[in-house]
Amino acid sequence: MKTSLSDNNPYDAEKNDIAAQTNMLKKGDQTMRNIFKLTVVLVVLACVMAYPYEARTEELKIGVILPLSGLMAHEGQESLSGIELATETLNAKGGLLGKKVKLIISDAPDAKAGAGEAEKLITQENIKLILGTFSSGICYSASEVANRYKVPYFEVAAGIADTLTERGLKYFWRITPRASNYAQVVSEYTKEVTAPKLGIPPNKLRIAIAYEDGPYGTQTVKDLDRIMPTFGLTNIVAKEAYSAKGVDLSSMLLKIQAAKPDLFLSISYAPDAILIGRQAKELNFNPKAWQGFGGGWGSPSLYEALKNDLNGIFSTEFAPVHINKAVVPGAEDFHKRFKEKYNRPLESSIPQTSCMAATVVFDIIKRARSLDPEDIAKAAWKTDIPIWTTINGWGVKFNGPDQPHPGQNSRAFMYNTQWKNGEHRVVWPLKAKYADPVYPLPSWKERVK
Amino acid sequence: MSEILIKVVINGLLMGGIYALISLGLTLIFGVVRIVNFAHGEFLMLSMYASYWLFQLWGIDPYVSVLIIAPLFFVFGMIVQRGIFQPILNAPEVSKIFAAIGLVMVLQNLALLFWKGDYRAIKTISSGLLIGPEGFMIGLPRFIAFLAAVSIMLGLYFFIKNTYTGKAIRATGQDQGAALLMGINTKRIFLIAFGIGSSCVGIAGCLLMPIYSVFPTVGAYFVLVAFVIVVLGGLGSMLGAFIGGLIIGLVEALSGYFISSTYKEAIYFIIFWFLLIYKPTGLFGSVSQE
Repeated sequence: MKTSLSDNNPYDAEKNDIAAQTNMLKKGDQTMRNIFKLTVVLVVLACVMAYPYEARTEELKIGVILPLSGLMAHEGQESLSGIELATETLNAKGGLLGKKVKLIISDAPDAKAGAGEAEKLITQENIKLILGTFSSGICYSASEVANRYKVPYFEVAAGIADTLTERGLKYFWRITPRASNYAQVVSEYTKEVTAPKLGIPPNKLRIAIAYEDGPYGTQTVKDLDRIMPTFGLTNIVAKEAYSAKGVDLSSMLLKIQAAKPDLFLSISYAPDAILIGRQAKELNFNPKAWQGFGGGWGSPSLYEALKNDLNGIFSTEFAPVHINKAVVPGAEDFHKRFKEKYNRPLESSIPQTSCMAATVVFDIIKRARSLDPEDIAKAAWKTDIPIWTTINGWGVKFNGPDQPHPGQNSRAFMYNTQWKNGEHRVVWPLKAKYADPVYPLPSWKERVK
Repeated sequence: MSEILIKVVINGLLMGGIYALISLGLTLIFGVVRIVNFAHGEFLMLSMYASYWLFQLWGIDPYVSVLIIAPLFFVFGMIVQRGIFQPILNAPEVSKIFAAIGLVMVLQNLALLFWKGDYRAIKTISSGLLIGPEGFMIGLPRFIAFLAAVSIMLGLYFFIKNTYTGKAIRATGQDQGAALLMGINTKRIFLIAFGIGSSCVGIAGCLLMPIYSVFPTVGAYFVLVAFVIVVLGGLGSMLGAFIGGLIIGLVEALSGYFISSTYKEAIYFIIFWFLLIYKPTGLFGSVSQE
């Protein structure tokens, strides 16, 4: 029986019983807990349903790894611009496999970052195909990682080191030429054009070589040693290594000058090319022909520094502007689109190269009908694009997995051009010729006119 | 053959003049303030960029921008000394070295951030010009740099020998403690010496721009040679830095011609090594300097 004290009796069973209170708590909060649980379940469900929705949107993700910061930032940005233009064109026509292509771009300023970014793209962004890289070093590490995950990797910008296709990676293809192509093109050109124009038989042509002592220079010289004799070019009168970091190359040039060469081969980067150009002028070094190898001898900064002192010097290039238009269908249109999108004219061949190569990869994906690595590989091996049908004149046919340098595009090549008033004028291959080459090299005084 | 040898010697001397230009500033800083200013190369890089931009944006020829950059870098040098090295004057040597190296990192990366890694070169009126007798022509910019090295060396030599401040600088360089006792405000002297040293390398940068390309790490190519020359010539000695520069330039050119360009650095570092063993005070250094 309840007493009159039950209302404020601390020992009242009904109101103060802890167990009873806990029970009341449980009951009240049970509802709250239920509501909470239901909300969580609904949210999770919503997320789960949203995730495949993202895949069901019209987007095909393709990874891009390039050096967009650091020392090669400029070249990396140029490479990206070509890929972006190719993607825009593709999406305007409806995209790929019924979806719009979205580039997932990663900045990798060095080889270590390349490996890290590849890992991230594949594991976190679920990327199934990667385009890269301009730098051979960055390509080397990024493509190794990609191949481990069976993600196809296409070199579309430069990355010319021979070692990249000597690894036997199953899912690696390079659309740009191999470094030894430089030596091949120059040797052939020298035998077919330079020697006859100078009236000197190839085996009597006095050749002097100056090369930067890093991997680029030393490897190219090794290639020249191997390839030049096959074209009858055996009279090497001087071979001088120098440091590209050098601040004075006059001793080296004096040595070369003393050897009285007919043809001077210079394998350089840009700053040493500028120095050689300046100091050769001071020393009045004037061989009958001067062949520069890409890298340095084609760069716009060279023209800024030397202006028309460059006239008459040859340099090897990827996609020169001054070329026989008939052999590069679509090139003019490309230049127009580039200028429209980026508000400046093309200064180098990098965007044209990467645009052409990216387009080739998109075509491979189209023929593969999926991003499955085996389908991509099959479609890649079947690629058969003849030369002179693309915007930079290259064709595409990859060396098979059982051939030397598997995955290498055998229809990519360097053009040989001659500087004239700031233009690279194509002189080789003959079919792409823009103008006849000028021999012998005009003297320094004549060039300034 | 002898004609080529003459050319090699001429080029070596011209190069030596350029080295001297860069080392004159360093010998003051190293010799008087006793700071191993590894960032000296970066000062050169900054002044090259400064003259590059003055030319690109406003068309000011580097030989004219010297008038702007010399005082600018004087102030810059004073700021660096006051802000970075003065607070740690009494700290162990190793702290000063790390501060200098830290400065190198900061300046190089700032340059990389603002101006990217591209190599930049300019073509001024003087860039391609040659002077001299037929067959022995030399580049005008190099000749001007050589003349500048001579003038600066002479100017500084007389300044240090004859003016009161110059004598105070010499005294501080010989013995800081004694200088303080003689009433010389050594802190002020350090500021002035660092300022003059930076101003010199600022002028060097302007004079080098018509010849070389600039990029964030260009300083590294010159700074090691500069240290060798400074030790070779004797710390704090203007004449020593100049002669030392010429010697190194000649050695480089001759070894580059007779041996190979790639071993140039090895040769003068071997010389440096012997120098440190047999005459560590250098050619014109005084015994009181360590």
